[in-house]
Amino acid sequence: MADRLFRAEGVTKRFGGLTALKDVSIEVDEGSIFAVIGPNGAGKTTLFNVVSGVYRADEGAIWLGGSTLHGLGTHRIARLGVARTFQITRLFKQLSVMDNVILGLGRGDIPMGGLIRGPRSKEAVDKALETLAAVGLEKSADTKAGTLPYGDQRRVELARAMAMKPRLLLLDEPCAGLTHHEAVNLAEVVRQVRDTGVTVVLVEHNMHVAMGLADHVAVLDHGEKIAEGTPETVQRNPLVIEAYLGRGESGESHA
Amino acid sequence: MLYLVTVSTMVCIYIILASGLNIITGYAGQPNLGHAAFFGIGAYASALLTTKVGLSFWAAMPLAVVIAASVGFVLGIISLRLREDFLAITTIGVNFVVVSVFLYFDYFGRALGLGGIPRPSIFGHVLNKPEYLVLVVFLVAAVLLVCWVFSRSRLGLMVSAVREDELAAHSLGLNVTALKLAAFVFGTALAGLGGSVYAHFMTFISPYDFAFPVSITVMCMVVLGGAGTFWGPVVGAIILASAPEIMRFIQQYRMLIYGGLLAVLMIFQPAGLLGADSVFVRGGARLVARVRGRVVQSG
Ligand SMILES: Nc1ncnc2c1ncn2[C@@H]1O[C@H](COP(=O)(O)OP(=O)(O)O)[C@@H](O)[C@H]1O
Ligand SMILES: [Mg+2]
Repeated sequence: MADRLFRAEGVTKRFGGLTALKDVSIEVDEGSIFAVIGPNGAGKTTLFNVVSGVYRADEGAIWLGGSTLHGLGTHRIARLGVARTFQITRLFKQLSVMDNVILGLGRGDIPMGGLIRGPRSKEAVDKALETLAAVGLEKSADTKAGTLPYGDQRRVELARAMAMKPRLLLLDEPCAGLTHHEAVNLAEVVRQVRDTGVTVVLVEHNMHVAMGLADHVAVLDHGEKIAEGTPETVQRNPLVIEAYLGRGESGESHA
Repeated sequence: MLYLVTVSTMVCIYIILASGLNIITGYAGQPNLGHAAFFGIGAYASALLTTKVGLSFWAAMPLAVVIAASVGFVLGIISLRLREDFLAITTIGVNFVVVSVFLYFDYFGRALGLGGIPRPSIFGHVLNKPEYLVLVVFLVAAVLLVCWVFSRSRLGLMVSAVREDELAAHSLGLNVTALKLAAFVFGTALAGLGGSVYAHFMTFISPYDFAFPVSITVMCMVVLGGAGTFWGPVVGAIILASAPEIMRFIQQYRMLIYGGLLAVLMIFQPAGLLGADSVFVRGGARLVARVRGRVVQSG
């Protein structure tokens, strides 16, 4: 059995009166793809924000390997090897694609001489180009990131996160807003990243994308984990079908 | 002749000030509307160290830089966690507080200011105004060299990333607070240098030389030339620091004109003359392309 790389135990996060996460626990095997799915507003992005230190959990514990992430700032968590993308892409728009990716290298280290020396050492450029090639964007290296089409911007953001050589990669709806063709390509990139040994947790609103990629799936609804298992078992779970289909068809039967 | 020397020296001083503000506001994206406070701290420190402590200019100048940067460091630690709009207001407040301190303590000469500030001397020879200008030009060259290295360093790229998107920078492992603080200390150090150079040029300083309108003037220079570009603050300082001297008759309306200029720029040309989306840069690029095209055709 593979080792657990990541554990969240009993995580609760409240915003005023709203409980966005209620006692959520997940465990992720090293080298696997783990999907968190659920309807809009289920708390998926909040889970990522808690894991990456943007918000602090009100209760619960979060572990990466042997070390706790609870209470650490975002950049410290990143330095431990947690990379992420955002549901709405957050690139350094005025900077070139190459500079975006180079900023991911080294997890925020300023190497000796970084005060004086430029960021584009041969080593850094080679690594950045290699990462850009992995997402199929090496030709756009000198383009200003903000001027790329949306689908390409998403790939730059993925490349920037990959450049960190993360242990855990968090992808927030990586396929949102992409064409079917782009989504299929991106899914393939995510698989390749996993094959290099990176553990991936992805959030998807679209159940089919997640089911195709993931080794293991957890389902959130109203901040609670309502199901978990392999894609096949989760797909057949009546609670999941209810969460996804019950609303809209039979009205607010849930409420 | 002497008039030209005076204007040129003032242009140089403004280049130093604007380059410093450009590090803070242009590269790191942190609004600082109190830059003149650090200009004043540098000037008063240098003036006091020479007139009351008895140091030479050569010792007082670097100390003035360190003192201005230290105040910048402390204020930065306190205020850089603020949201940007609060930071803008806080820095305005700092400007008023610092001017008040100069005004209300005898040690700082109150409204009369400080006089008798010596010009620097080399081997016993006291520099006259033209000679001092030569020294100032060397200092400007050194400042621009440091800024150029910064703008092309990994540190400079990281600071720009903070300006572009703080949360994204955080999640790449960049220590955003430290990077902002580094930019703030660097920028206020340059303001301190500008202050020292100013004090020993004028030989007499008073609190209002460092009042809030001066902060706005420097901000105008940065925005006009192009915030976040290397040459922007230089171009902005040259245009605005020489213009009011040429057009003396509009002197009284200077703040009105600067304020209007800032508003017009923000609406029509937010990137400034040398900024990325500037009509001048695009026009220049088109011109270069056309000339090249012609050379290729005829060649
Ligand atoms: N910063 C915040 N302040 C207040 N409420 C928030 C905040 N972030 C998220 N929420 C709320 O938490 C719930 C879960 O949101 P989110 O995690 O974005 O859902 P999902 O990503 O699954 O669509 C929503 O009801 C949302 O309105
Ligand atoms: Mg979301």
